[in-house]
Amino acid sequence: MKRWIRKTLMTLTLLFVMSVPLQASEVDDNTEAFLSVFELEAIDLDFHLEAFDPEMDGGYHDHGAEVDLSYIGRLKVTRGLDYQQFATFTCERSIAGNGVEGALVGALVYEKREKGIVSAHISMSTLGASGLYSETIDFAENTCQYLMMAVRTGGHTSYRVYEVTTKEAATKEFLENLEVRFMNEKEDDVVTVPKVLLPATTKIEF
Amino acid sequence: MRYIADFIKGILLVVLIATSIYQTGKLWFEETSDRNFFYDILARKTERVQVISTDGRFIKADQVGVYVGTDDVQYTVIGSGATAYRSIEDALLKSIATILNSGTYVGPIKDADMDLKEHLVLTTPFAYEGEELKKGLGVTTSEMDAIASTRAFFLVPALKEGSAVSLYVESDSSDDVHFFQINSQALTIENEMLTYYMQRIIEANNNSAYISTTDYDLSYFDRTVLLPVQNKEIRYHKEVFWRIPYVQQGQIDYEGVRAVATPFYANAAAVGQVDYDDSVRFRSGDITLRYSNKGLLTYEQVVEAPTSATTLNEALTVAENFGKTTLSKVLSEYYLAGYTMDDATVTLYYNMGYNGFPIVMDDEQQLVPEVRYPLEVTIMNGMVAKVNILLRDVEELLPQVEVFNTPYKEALDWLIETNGPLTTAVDKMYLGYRWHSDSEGMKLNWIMEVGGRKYFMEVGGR
Repeated sequence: MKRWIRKTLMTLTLLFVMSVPLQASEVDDNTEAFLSVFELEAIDLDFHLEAFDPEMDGGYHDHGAEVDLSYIGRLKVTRGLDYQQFATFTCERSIAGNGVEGALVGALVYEKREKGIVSAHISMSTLGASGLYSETIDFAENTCQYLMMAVRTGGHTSYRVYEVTTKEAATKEFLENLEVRFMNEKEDDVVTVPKVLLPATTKIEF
Repeated sequence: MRYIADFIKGILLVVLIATSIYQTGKLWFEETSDRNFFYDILARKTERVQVISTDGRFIKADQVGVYVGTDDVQYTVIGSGATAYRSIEDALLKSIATILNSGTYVGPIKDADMDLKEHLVLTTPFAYEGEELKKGLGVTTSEMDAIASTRAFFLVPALKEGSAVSLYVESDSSDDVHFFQINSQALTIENEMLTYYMQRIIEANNNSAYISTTDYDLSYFDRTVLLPVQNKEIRYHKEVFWRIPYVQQGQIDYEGVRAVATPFYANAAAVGQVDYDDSVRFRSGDITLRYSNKGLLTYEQVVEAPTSATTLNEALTVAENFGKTTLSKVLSEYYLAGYTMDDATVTLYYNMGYNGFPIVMDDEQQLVPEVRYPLEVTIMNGMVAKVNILLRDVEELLPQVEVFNTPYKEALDWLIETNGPLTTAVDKMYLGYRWHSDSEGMKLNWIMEVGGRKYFMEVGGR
């Protein structure tokens, strides 16, 4: 009896362990479509932050290596992605960069769930004559999501994966309203505007 | 004794009769009546405009932006029609002048090293050269020599009493930014006002959203320009129509047109009017005014031969005064766009505006030959010598709130596709109405100024 229980437990554990990688490699349809456009095979779930550039030595380089983070293939990101792993209070993030005419730039926001990869936001655009890229990307509030930026030029795809943690807006408000006072400061150090200077009904219109 | 009194009376009588004949004759034979002899004496005293030194007022702002700093909205640009605009612009210019005059020059730094927390930015319509800047602000220190020319000022107000107010002056000729500081006690009123308005504007959280070309590292620009961001609601008209006031089918309304002259003369009753087929001429004293059936109003004032060269500062101050006293009665919105200068005169060029957007003339389709800007003011010898105004009446329509959805990159893509790769940096880029013909409606366009030429791309409303 004992042996039977042990055997069953072992089999179950084995089954469970085996089933995890199977589930993890699953991606939803949108993600699959995105990957096929860029001719990428799959997203490797074990890699948190990865980057691939066919022009680099050997192609792959992990986040520990010395690389210019601002480049994804031939796209130079000038705004929005200064770090490969970052936290933000706003769910919208504008990303801007300079690339080359005709390059296809895609942004895929996804979450890693137990059953696999679930995409949350997809955008793709071909760069025009100016080679400028600008896109506003939406993230869900209070989660950890991944952003894959892929650039396809001349039949090669380069990509980089970013980890973005969005914080609640309430936290920002709390932090902003937190009064930090140093030992030698007095309470009346805070600037107040004398009422006489300002009209009682100052209306600011745009 | 009685004989002497009679003699004097007789002389007086003769003089009076003679002057009355002369005056009547003048009215009869001359084309226009002149102002009364006594008016002339009284008026001449005040006619000459004194150039008063103003605290940095000679600098004209093109854009005044408040840093909002959320991720997708970098700046809010305060429209010149906004209630608080004048106060903010004044406080900013006063602060800039005071800091450049009596602040400490920290030195040149790289723009990446600018410590910009909550701040305001002021860009100018053209570059102010070092010498003009110094003279205009009355600065004597040699530290300012480092600023060869500039078009953007960044002011970081002090949020706490006693801490420093920082000013960064962007150099137009190099990558350097000149860094100045002053203790906020030297600028108490301005600092408090700016801090207050800045907070209010950030809290108001409106939809006017702009990005900075320097911050976004847009390679097509070599200086700070604030560009509007798409997908935000802005208030603009899909189409604006104009007509020429007091003109119908090329015929001038000779009775009504007199109203045009009123703001330009101290005593409108004494203004003579001569009607021609295609124009009307008014004259009184030194001032002559012409109004053509094309809607072009030309003001000319007899100015003595110049004794010294007119500086840009002087011209801007004189034009500012003239604008306040006279032009404001004829035009509601106008924006300084540029200037030309020779030995004796300075001519300032302005675009007209409608609901916060400039109305820009298409160079290739000039409505009136030789007129490239709807408002041109020529200053000589410290006085307004000539003014050209293309007068138009707007047919009032209710403004619609439209979502503006043509990103700046689309406009730049179009520019390069149609004109080939750019060889020089984009000088200016903004939204404005394109004025090409009065009969057609004016639509909102992206206007890009490159190498002295203007390019227009229509904005697609939703």
